Amino acid sequence: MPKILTISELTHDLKEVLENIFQDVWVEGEVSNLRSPGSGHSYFSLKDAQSTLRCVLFRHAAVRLKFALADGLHVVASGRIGVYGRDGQYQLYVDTVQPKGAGALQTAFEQLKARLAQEGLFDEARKKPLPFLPETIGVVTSPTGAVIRDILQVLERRFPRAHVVINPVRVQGEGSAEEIARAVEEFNAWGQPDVIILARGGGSLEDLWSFNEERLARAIAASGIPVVSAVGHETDYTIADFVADKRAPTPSAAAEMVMPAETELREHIDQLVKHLWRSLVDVVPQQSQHIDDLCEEMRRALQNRFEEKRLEVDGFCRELEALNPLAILRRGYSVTMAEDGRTAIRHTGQLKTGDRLKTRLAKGEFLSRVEEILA
Amino acid sequence: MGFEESLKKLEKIIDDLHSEKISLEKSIEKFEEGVKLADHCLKTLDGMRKKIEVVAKTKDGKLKIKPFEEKA
Repeated sequence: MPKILTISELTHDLKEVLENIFQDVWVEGEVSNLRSPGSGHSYFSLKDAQSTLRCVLFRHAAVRLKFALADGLHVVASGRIGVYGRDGQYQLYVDTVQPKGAGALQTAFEQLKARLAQEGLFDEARKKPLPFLPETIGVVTSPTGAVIRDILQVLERRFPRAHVVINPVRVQGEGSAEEIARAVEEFNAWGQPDVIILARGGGSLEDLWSFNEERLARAIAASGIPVVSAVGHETDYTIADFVADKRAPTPSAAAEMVMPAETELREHIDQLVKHLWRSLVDVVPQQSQHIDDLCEEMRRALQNRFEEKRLEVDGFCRELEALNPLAILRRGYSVTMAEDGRTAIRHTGQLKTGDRLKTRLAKGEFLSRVEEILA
Repeated sequence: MGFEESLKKLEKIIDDLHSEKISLEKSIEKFEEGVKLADHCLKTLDGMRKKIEVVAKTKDGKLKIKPFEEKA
């Protein structure tokens, strides 16, 4: 007579055998029937063409995953086989899961990128323009090393008197994404910088990882201050780059992007002032020679200003006052116009006897009549 | 008024002055405004001061700004 077992006894024996043999299993398959209830544990099946294996991923193991499990994903899982007596089921208690093919980080990157793109976080429409001339530049990066040095050097070259505030952070390793995100938030809470540069030198995908974390992506998206990201080398793209208002290929390029060159700005203003004078020359041709001289004088005055680093501006104002066309009138010149005050009279060919004329003096205007044309 | 706004306004004034329909009166007025704007822009540039600072966190989580000294 064979020994008759109870279900529990049999299950117990099976459990002993199976759990003993399959303590460390590596298995490959496609994820299906994924369920992740509120407990943080995940339940799914791994399957291939013929068979299915039930899997449990407990929360402590789930939080270590860099990417998100999803139905259809082809993975390699490791763990131990356990028997769940109540349901008469054996299942894999999963320790680690790796995407098959692409690395876990690469998969996580693609997943987050797709999710945030779907949410509209990368849309051009939500990108903020950079300030034309920032008063304060916030830089979030490591306070030591080549990156901050490069940024400061470029700023020094373009605009020697820039105001820079560095918020020092660790740019890699556990917790660095949180630190970088908080630095962005601190700058926003403080409110002083009008642009933020996020910078890090080149490195492997693992090294740059903090710039691919959702925590930082959210902080950048929430920033009221425009953010320029400059992470890694020209060919490296991170999630931070996609969310940022502008991506710079290198930290030096970021510095160039946020700060205009002072000499170019001053040249531009100089040009505009010259145009301003030219346009006046066109309007008041009687005094064009005089105004040309003034223009030259003004250009020299401006030229000297550029060469001096910290010239007082008051003198400049006084010069401009003196060059004002009203001042010309004060010196005794007058402007003669047709009665309507629109056409300046440049030569007597414009006149005939009896015409009424309007003349502007330094103080006041009067009408007169042409009695006789002499020449 | 900000630097960029002043500069844009100055550029606009020059455009206006080059358009032929403007009266002498008006152009003198515009000219004066233009000179003021150019002066304002230059003053803004002159008024900027070099400052390199670093954020230090205090215990209560507030930001403290200190001068930055680069470590070799």
